[in-house]
Amino acid sequence: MSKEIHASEDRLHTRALIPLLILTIVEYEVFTFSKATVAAAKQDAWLSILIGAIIGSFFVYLFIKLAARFPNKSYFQYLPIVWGKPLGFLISNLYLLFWLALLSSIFYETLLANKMLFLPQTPTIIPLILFALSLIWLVSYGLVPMIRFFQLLLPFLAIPLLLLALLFTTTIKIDRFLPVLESGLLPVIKGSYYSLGAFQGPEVLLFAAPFFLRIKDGVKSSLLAYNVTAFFGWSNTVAAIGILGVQNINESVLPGIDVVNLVEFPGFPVERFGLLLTLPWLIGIYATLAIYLYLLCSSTFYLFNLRPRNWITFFITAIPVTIAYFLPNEAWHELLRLYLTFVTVPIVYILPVMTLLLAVIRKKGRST
Amino acid sequence: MFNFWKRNNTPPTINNDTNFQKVPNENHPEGVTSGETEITSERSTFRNNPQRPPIVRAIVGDKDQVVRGSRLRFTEDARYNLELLRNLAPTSELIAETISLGNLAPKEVFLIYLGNIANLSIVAEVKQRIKMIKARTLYESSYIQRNIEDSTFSPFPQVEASERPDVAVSALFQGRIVIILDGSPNVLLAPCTFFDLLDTPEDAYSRWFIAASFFKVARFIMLLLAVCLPGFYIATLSYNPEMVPTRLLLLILNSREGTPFPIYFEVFLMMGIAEALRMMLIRIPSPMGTTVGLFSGITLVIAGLFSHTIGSVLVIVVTLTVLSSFGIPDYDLRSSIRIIQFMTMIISSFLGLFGFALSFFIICIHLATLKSFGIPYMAPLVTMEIGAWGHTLLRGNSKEMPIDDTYKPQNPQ
Amino acid sequence: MRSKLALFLILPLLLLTPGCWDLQDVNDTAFVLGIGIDSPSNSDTAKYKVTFEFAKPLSTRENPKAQSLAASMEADSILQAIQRMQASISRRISLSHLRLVAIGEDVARTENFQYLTNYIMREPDMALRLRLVFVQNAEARQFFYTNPRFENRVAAEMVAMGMLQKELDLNRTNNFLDFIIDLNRTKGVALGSRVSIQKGENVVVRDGAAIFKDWKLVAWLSADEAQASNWLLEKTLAVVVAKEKENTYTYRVRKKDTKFKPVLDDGKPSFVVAVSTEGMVMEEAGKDIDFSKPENLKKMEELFNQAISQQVKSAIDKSQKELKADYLGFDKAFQKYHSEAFEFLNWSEIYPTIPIQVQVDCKIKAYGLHK
Repeated sequence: MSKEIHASEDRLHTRALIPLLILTIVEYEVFTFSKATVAAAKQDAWLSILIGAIIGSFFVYLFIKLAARFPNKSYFQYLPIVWGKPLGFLISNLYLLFWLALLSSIFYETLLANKMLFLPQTPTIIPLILFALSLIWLVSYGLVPMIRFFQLLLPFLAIPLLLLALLFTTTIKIDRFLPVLESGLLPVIKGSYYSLGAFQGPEVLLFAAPFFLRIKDGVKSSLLAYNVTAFFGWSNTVAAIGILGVQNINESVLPGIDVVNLVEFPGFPVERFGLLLTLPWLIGIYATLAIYLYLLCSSTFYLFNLRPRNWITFFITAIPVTIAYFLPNEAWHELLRLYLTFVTVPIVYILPVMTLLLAVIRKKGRST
Repeated sequence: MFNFWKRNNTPPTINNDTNFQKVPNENHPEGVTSGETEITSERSTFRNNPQRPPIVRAIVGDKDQVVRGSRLRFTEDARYNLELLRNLAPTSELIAETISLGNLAPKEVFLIYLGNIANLSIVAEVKQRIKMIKARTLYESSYIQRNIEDSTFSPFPQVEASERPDVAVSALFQGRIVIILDGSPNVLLAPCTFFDLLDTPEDAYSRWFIAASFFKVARFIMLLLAVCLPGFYIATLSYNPEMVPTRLLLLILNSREGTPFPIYFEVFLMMGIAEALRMMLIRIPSPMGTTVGLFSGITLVIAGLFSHTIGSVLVIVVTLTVLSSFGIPDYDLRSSIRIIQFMTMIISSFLGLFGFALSFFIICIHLATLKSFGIPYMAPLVTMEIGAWGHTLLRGNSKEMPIDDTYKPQNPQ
Repeated sequence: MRSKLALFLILPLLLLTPGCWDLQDVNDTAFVLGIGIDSPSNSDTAKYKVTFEFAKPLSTRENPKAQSLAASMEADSILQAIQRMQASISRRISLSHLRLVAIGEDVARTENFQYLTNYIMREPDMALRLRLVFVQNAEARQFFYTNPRFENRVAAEMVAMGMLQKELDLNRTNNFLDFIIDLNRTKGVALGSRVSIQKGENVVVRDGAAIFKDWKLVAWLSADEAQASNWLLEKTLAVVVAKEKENTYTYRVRKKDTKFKPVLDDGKPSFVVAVSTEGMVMEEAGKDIDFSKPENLKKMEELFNQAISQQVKSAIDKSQKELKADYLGFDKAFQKYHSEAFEFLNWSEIYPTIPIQVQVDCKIKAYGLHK
């Protein structure tokens, strides 16, 4: 899967950035919306997420600028140009490790959700393998069909989540948010760091940039996508604090599902609306797994100069599946997630911005 | 590796052997025509005089009934069909090419397109694929349909079949190619996208755009229902009953109390009975045909309900599914959807809601990766041409016929 | 070609290997709609006595009264009770549609509430949108054998009664999760719902409230006392009866708004409670007053002012002086405005001595169709 694109092949319209980004970023945080944020900022977590979204949008804007400097190249192709070959190779491998850890974590979350919600008694390897096989099938087609797939799935994700956001407004109790800014501004800033750490995904547009018509014009679409995702996370957090209460969030394992089961709709006094959350969650997880698997496989082929072979794809997929399967228990996974949240801001957000700065300083790439 | 159903074709090139240029008329000055077209074939060149074909009205047993629109239909005579098209699209750009297929009993195949609108590389590709067909003879256009498709294994047809001339003419103006086989009233329209299959002429002929859009959206919802409903029913009730509202659940429990079969078996049984009824309704001779069919269906259901063999909520679910599947206008797609229903039901029976979601993903992956002669199957939804959504997903309020770029060459500039 | 074939063979086989471990037909499941927790008859052998209300599905021919089935089991923990109950039930017990938790008086007075309901918080199957009631003077077990008047099952009746929150001020409605949040916030003080079984008839009455202190039940509020407390807690419809000499006037409150104004002067908190109501005079028994004159309405308003402020004062006295537990929400109001000072105060100690002033403002907007 070569990254150089011939001019005769069709390129995607920049509007296709919207489903790509939304579906990549939305995954587990629909369920947990980074418990770390709520643990750090307590009832002001909604403020942290807002601040995080603003900072994140700024970063996304810088990403587009970076992608516009190297129009037909993907991120790993111009990393060596900007940083120099050995450092570029090192950074690319850092990304590979990051993706591997992220994939293991998401596979583990699938396992956990199956064990608790969907299929408690089925051996957990079976859903994992089925997901992995269908993902390999999707990945083998390349990025453009994957983006088409995302476009198909986007309404099924967005509509239930928007419906939920509407339903939440009826059940939220405002007094659970008071007092505002109880412990000052510092916990809110810490919460923003964690909430940014839950939004892994914008770096995908650096890799998908060669497939788009004119990535410079993609600012509006990518900002829209990022903020829509931030809105989903924000509404879920607000609902959780307003309905569940901060202490219960800290004690609960899947606060998102607990919140949704507590929503009250007129005429349905004690019903649970968990269905409105589980289906979008499955879609988000599947899409995120697909895109990261694609990035992992294609980058491995590119970095180590391998010929794309099927057994290598199988092997690469098997690694995170094995790690997820053999992770001892939920406590280890929480630890892994905490490390990932910590590490996301430097790797996903700051590294490309440093690349951009270096490129500007060293005058590499096309300046616009 | 996984593209095992892709054709091993050479990429499309413009085939310069075939003469697709217009041959100017000897008796008329160049460029001026009065509705006459030249037909060039690989055997001989001759000119036809346009004659008005006899008008045939209201065919009995028509499966494409319309409230508003012409009731002309294609017949088995290829020349008649060609004349019909020529009269409905009287332009000098209309080009028809003849290919002869079949080595024992050759039949004529006409390839018709509009020279200034159709995508010429697609025309060349279609022609090449048709020429590669090896057969002793052809009785029905479905032989051609199966052989020129990108993937015969896929449940979704990539070439549309229609009996209506107005549909064929609108396809011509979209830039598609009409293929007429002598001896078959179904003409093929190639290439096609998913939304062409879900399109009906009523959408274009209705006066008010909001009503037309509403019906279009209703058809999409019915498609979703038809594919998902029985699988969803099995998945929630057998694996995750906590997702069902309590009162509804208690109602379903009451309706199923005492029935001997588990849920998945009941659903399969009822769907099988629905299929059997459908087969019977096609074959039973009239005049008593429909009445007997109706009565047998009703009797089965009522007897089952009274003897507590099936539950009443199940009857609702199955009837709703059967109804929804008839919201799909295209016959091939409808049959495929019926089979996809069964696939969803099987996977849901094994893996519950997770399996239901997985089958949904597999169908979507397949739709997203399918191509019909190089055009993505889910265009224009998927190529994000919002301008084209106005007459695909909804119907826009335009006073003129919409012009879409789905079938144009994909390169920018 | 062979690889395609291999793939085709493996995938369906993979699908068939699960063997449907999780397939649980919905008619093979016994859904528990309500749980009652009591003290056991013999406290040496078990810690709790748990009563389950099962939903019994009916075919059309059977007796419509047999819609639910109640059974009890004694055990050391709720999960163990479920296991022991399963031994005598032919369908798999599922708590995924649990809607009601009823706790008997004796076990509520002796056990810490958190330990009682720990299982409910942990089970992933359950939704936390439950109704919570405390049964007075009876066992929770007897509660499940009462005859519901409108609905088919006791749990459904309780759920429906909980929906009457806006119309009734004689009781306290506090759902399970809100109750737990209150308990956690005040370290053991909260106000819950109370039910009792009407003497003579086997019918449930839901009024009054249950007061929790130190995570255990300490006292009950009668219907009138609950109405008095509801001036400070809830925005329900209220009915006030005021007597002047031999005349009785009834006032229906449509809207009520209570504001807590905490005042802090050099470390000593005090409160001003301002209650404002809006409503109609709906009944008068006694001297005929012409309501079309504004001064008469003013007199009525004064009368109702006094009646309401008396009620509010009695509620505050009960909470402050008698029970010494702040279940009326004063700590929340104080924390909203003076959160730093709140950190240093030991609220449960100083609460009984806080001076609280009550101001009531009644407005009569209309008087029905009769002058």
